[in-house]
Amino acid sequence: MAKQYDVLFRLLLLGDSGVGKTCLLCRFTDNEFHPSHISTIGVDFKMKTLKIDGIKVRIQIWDTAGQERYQTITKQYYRRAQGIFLVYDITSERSFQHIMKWASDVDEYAPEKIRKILVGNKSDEVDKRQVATEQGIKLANAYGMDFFETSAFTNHNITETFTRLAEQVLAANKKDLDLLRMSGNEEINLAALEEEEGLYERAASDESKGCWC
Amino acid sequence: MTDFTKDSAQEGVITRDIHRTFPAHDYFKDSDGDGQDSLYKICKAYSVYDEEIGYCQGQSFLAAVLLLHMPEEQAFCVLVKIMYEYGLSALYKNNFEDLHCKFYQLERLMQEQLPDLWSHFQELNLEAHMYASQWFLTLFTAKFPLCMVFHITDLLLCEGLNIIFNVALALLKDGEGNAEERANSSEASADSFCKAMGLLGMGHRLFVPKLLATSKEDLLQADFEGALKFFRVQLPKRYRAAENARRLMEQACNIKVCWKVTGYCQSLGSEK
Repeated sequence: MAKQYDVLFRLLLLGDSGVGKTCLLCRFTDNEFHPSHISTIGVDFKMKTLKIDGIKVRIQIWDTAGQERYQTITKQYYRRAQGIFLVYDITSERSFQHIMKWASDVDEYAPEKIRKILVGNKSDEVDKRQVATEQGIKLANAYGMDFFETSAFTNHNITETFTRLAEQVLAANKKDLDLLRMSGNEEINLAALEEEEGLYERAASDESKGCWC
Repeated sequence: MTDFTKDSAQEGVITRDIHRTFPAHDYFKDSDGDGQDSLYKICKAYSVYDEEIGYCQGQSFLAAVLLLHMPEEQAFCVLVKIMYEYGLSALYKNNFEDLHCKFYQLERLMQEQLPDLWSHFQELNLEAHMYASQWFLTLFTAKFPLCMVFHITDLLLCEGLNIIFNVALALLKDGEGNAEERANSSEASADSFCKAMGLLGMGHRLFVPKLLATSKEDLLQADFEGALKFFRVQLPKRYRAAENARRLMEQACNIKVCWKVTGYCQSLGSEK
């Protein structure tokens, strides 16, 4: 059986309730937009394989409930992730203000090496915009993150955003990857490497089809 | 007395969730329809009524299920009963401490009753919170077909909150054993199920269909991603067939939950 991926890692979507985390994910993994999906309760999960510089990268993406109290559940996933999307809604100043809180939680609970990216979603809703693009850029610079404005509705910058974070996680772990490649491991599980525990050695036999939301 | 016109701190979350609660259901799909209006009122009223918990994401699904059976005032009162007297409110309190305890209890029950599946999940690092958060926080109402959801809610009202373990274990093992064994065991021990259904005026004749595969068999063959996909996609689909839902509920009623094992969580809690 041909190996289905070269490396596996986990990304996490964080941000206030209603900023569009689930829609971003559905657009990225299934290229679908469902304006009427159900609220995410607890955590949800999807995956996709990307090809970056000839490397087949399997990413598992965890989608979380945005209500603040759910953080005791979602925090358990911080330490298991290699990359994090901090998502706000450009039509909600409040969701933008909260990015600071989300970022400080990530600093506290996530591994130091974790890569972050700032995402201002719903860029199609120009009439309702409350957060200027410059504010997003400024905040991202302050944290040393990359920044994208996206629209799950129009499919604007979605693949770019997910691919960029995946590239950054790959780059951040390049040394480990090279070492492992030389040792001839068939498939590399960054997630397991960092946790020094178990194993998702085989990729799922079928690609995700259809939207789960 | 509670002033229900008072502003709720969770107003924004409630408004967003109203559109995302059974959005495909006729009664709830329209933004300015009666269903969403009543649902908003119940969630808002509860968030003001219960100052400690307020509105917690997940509640809207249970409220909506109640609304499909009774007018909003009654639905609100039943929601309050379920939260306070059936003890659902404990699940949402203190950073979900009780919820985590229930995950722990579920895993101990699995270890006892489904040891092979438990070991398989251990190997995969698949933990209960990954698949059971939504089950428990919405009392199974969010993803499963409504005919089954109504059975679960009936069972909860008859038997209490502990039935979440019966339903969870039944979902994990659904269809275990061969058809003959199931038929025998169902004759012998379907009493409690009949009793529950009889109480509800739903004394259907029990029907035990032959099955091709079981949840457990599917899950034992799945890897980490496959198992999570099974929970999210295949499992809710399976119960669109009414007879599958009925069989599952029968199985749930027949499962014995041993409290010696699950009680362990309390001592674990006090050690902390």
